[in-house]
Amino acid sequence: MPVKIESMADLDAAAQVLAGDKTAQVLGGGTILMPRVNAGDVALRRLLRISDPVLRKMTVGGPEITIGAGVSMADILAQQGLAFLHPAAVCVGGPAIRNMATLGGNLFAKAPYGDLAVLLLALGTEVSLAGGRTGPGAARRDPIEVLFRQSTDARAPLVRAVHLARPKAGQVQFHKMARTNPRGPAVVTLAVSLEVSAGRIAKARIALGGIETRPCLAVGVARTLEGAALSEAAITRACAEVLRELTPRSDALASGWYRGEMAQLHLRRILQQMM
Amino acid sequence: MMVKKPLEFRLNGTEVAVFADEAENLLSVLRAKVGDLTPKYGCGQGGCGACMVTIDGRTVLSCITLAETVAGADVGTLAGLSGERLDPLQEAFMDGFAAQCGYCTPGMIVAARALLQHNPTPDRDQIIEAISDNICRCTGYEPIIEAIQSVVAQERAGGS
Repeated sequence: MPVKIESMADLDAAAQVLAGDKTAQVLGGGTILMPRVNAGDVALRRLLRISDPVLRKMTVGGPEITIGAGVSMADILAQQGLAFLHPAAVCVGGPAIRNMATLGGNLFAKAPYGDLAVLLLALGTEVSLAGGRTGPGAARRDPIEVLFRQSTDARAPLVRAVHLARPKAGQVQFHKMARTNPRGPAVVTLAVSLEVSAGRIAKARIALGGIETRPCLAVGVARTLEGAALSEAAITRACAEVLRELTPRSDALASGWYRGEMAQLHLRRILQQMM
Repeated sequence: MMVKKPLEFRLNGTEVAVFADEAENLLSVLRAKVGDLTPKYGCGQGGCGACMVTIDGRTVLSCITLAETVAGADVGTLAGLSGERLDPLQEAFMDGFAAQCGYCTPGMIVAARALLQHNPTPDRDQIIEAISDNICRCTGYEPIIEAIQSVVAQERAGGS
């Protein structure tokens, strides 16, 4: 049965279709879904093309940043006001892929993809979801973690936009380790955000990609850093916590053992750079 | 019954009108319905770059572009680069043996021309980055990079 393409102007109406039909998906840039269409994936029956301009809207001038889910990686890279996102956005494919791939698609890309989502997770990003909310609750936002906690088979919500505070200079570091350069799928992706107050780490968020099927937060690792000054001893304690907290997955790119070693190595290097 | 959708766009500056199948990709429309065989079918997954074209001046992978999304747009392929004379990139690829089996060549040249349109004087790293969507299994990339560098040098010197 061929895939049916449906154009929709309204985001909330599209969310209702998604909620009621597990064979429906939203088509963004096409980099994830079109290969499935080409392969004749029978689980895909309806593709929704949403023209709601809110998906392409960016607000980057002030301290709070809003980026619509339909904004492409190339659009993000063209915005100097989003320079702190560029190290991750530039990791997404080559130039043609980045012209197509959208922020919304990256949030749902399974490992080893979804590099930008890892950085957004470390930055404490919030997401606003379409559908099911009207009136006073319509402006409610959820932490980005809600997208990554659910099972990969669960029906994905429809993201309207992401919202995040502009990080301070030096607050965040991102690193992607891949076997092929300049662009390859990630063995491990790390993003570290440290908020420092009076020489001590007040708040740490450490996000990893490639370790699990979706981006994950290393909460225990972050806890070892909070309250401490960023020293070699603190870094060693944090790195030792990585494998106590996480069980890296194995795939054709890397074994779980190798991923674990690389996660510790690159976490150490990132933290040393931030000292 | 398979739905057909009317689709109009400009291909290399010429108006084109076709009927696209439901969920048909742009590469299929270009090759099977318009007859432009310069974009190649490689992986069909957006992973090899053989199908690369431009839409409104930006490179995309036509095998994973839904055809109906290009309605009203300017689509560019390798066929649009040469007129009575070959594009300098095509000449350089021939002169520098940058094409062996030739399957990746249209995508490589489309990527390189898009780069030079936005950045006429790219360095080696920028050239490598620009063709990082494109896979070549013959040349080891070095002759391709050198061919593009030779065109950069030639165009910088004012030749064509």
